[in-house]
Amino acid sequence: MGVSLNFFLGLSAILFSVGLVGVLLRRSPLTILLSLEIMLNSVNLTLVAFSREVGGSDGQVFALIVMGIAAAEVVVGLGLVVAMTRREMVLDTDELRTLNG
Amino acid sequence: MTELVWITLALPIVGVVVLALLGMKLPARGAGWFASLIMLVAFGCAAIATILLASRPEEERQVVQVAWTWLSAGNFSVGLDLWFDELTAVMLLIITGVGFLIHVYSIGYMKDDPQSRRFMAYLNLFVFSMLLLVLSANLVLLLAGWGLVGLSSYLLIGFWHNKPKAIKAAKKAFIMNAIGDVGIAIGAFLLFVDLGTLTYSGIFAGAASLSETQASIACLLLLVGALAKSAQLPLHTWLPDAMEGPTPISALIHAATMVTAGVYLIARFNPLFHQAPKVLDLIVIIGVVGLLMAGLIALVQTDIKRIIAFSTMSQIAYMFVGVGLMSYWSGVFHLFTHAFFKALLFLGAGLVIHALHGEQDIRNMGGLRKQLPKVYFCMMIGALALSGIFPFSGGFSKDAILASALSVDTPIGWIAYIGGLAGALLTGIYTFRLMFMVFHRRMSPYAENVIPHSVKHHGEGPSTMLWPVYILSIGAAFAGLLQIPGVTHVFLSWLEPISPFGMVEPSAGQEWLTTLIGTVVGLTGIAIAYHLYARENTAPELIRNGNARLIHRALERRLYWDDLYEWTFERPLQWASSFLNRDVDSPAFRWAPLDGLGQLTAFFGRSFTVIENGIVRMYALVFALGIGAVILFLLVRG
Amino acid sequence: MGIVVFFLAAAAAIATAVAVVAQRNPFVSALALLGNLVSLAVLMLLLEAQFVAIAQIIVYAGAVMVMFLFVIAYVGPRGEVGPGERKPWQVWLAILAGTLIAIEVIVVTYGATFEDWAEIDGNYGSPAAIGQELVTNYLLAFEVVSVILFMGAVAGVIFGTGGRPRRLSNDEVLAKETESAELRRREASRAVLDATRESMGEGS
Repeated sequence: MGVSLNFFLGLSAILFSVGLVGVLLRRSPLTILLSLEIMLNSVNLTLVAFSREVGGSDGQVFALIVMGIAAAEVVVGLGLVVAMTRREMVLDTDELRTLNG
Repeated sequence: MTELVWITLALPIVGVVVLALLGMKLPARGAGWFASLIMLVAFGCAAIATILLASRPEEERQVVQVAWTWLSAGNFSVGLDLWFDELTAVMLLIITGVGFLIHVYSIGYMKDDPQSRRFMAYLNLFVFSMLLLVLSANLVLLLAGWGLVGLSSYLLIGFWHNKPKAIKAAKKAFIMNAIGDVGIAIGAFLLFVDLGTLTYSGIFAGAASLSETQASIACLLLLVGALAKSAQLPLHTWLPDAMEGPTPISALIHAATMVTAGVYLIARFNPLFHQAPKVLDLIVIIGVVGLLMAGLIALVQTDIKRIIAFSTMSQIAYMFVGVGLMSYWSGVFHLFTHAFFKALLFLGAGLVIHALHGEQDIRNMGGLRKQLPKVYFCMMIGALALSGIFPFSGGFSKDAILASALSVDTPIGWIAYIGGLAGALLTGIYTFRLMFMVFHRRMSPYAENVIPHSVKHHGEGPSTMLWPVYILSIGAAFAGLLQIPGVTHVFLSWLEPISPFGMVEPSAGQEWLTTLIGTVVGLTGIAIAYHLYARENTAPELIRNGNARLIHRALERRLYWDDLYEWTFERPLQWASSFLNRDVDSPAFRWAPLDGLGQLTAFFGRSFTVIENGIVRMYALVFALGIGAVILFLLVRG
Repeated sequence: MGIVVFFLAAAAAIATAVAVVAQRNPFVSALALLGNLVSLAVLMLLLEAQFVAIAQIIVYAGAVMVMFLFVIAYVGPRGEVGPGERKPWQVWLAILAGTLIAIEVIVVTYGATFEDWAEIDGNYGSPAAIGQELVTNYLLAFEVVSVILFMGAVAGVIFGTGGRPRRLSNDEVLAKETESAELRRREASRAVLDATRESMGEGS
């Protein structure tokens, strides 16, 4: 295989940053959740790449576990979105300001 | 056997947790029965453990079990240790047995209270604390139990927290008890400094090596705790006020168990007190003065529960006299019988109050004998036992204390003997003043109004309230038979091993003589009460005519103890704090430099609230920038 | 061959990721994420991680994204939020944070030297190998994930169904009605305004 590990890591860094920017800029909770998925997946890519480099399967197992956790996180996040919709709230994270000190 | 003791200790706390967590999900009656069932099982365990203990040879009856080390620092370590011996067994049986009956009684008493579950949870908490107190095998654990009973007593006195008087009484009880807690704590420090250990076995073994001064100071400090908890002079003022709590509480905590903890403490630490004979004499003096004073005050009180409260104080003073004379068995014996007849009197008073829709003033009662015959009969047993009339339990135990005083044959012993007999006269008078005022003479207009209706609807009370009273009256009538002078001596031989230095044991002749005198004195008291109160309440006229008005007034004010404390502690403190507030604090903080300091702080606080805008996205942005900066720093640094 | 596949997949992954972030319509965003996941699966296949790649497609692209799409459909046009009162410095700072982290990581990894890819046998990354790991070395983690998923499911159900829309009081209903009436009125007037503007534009 001609590609070196560096390429995978660099790609993963770029994807992570794109996801990060999405999380920081978008206000719709749906889009924020999607961007979070990008970030999680970029890390998964890193895990799998390192796992391949070392030759063990630990990293892959870890990636699977991350997927499981991501699924749980999505369920909760989407549950919140649905709950907000049912209460006829605006779907805008900036409107949720109860953290205000 | 030790497992059973552990179960006994653990059951009430399980009850607390269950009641507190399930709370309103339980039906109110179910919660009451659940708490009572727990107490019944605990009583069963305690009884079996006692039987097992009794089946052991005498030398092996002292069981210490260490569960685990609780605190450890340097060469100091405190474990969760249980101490189970004859004295503990007696206390366990009283606490769980009387506790069970009062739990059952509370089901009926709290029937209409929407918060009865909370009440039951507190009750279980109290039982746990009390068991911890008597089961602990070191001073730290004892102090924990000591504080916890104070806490549960506080919670229960103030149970009706919309009643300002109840809250005030609860606070008073708590503060008074805190003084005692401090005493015990300092005593424990001192013993640790002197002996390097806080376990009972270590203290008892090392007690002989203490000088008399060291032992006396430690004992005095422990005595402060005992006086506060047992409502003895001069820390007694909380007990009458504590009657603001629900009546089952008065019966359980402020008659049968918690207030006797002081007697238990002295009996438990008898090897230490043995090294401090002067403190023992002091205990006797405090006891004699206290029993006379409480008896005198009880003569003029008009609140049915307060009369019984003062009589409790007086009876506990008798127990103090007993243990102070080193006749530990008689003090504990009186504690045992007192638990029955005093709980009985309180519960009976509760039934009377219940029937009169909450009226507690005995002047508004009268003639209830025909309306409440069962209550009358049971309370009569309790009253006779309290007055120390011969075949009833109180007679045996009180006379055991007095006979011990006779057999000591020292000036202190004679003071105790004469004082005790005078106290017995007072007991007879105030007890039967209560009985005659409540049950005999003509019915007061108020009672005439209320009683027929309430008897028609409720009878004498719900069966959950009546049955505990019946059972307690059996105890009050016959518990004394455990110790018939010259015939049986179950109690004495059972408790003898707890004191390594032996106990004062009067001869059978001294006991019978005292019994005779005591009964005659008690009957004289009853006769005086009959003369004064049985047909009409003639005492007020006598007082108005004679020149006893001043004394009467002083007794009504409870000999000015409360006023004394108010004027020595409360008022000066209020004056000082209001002076400091008005003339020191306020001007100082209006002074420009100090004020500016405050303004400056507030200014900085306000300026930083800008970034606290509550937008999660912004927080995340700062977070991300921070990560970037950290990595950058690491990169640049190489 | 490997290089060509890598760069094609990488380009697709970056393009779809940017699309996810840039798209206003969440529906399109979700579809773009689907593409992103598939291209990542290709990259994982390139890394010989067959099982993870397939799980990525079945679990993520299949189950999770379908749920996403359902919710987006349920939420409807509310899902789109306009730019609102966003300040330009926020945008710049966000992009700065993103690029900063990306560049830093690339610098670090570029400077690092890694060993060559390990020698592997045909069993590597197969379901059998991964399954073996999951039920032996990682059994605890595996079980914990199952518990977390279960809790997530419970939380989702509670969030999604628990809060019935509360009944509005009469006053609130009235307020709402006047509000929507006001909105409708404003919308209508804006339409009229637009129409006149258009006609004026045509006219001029």
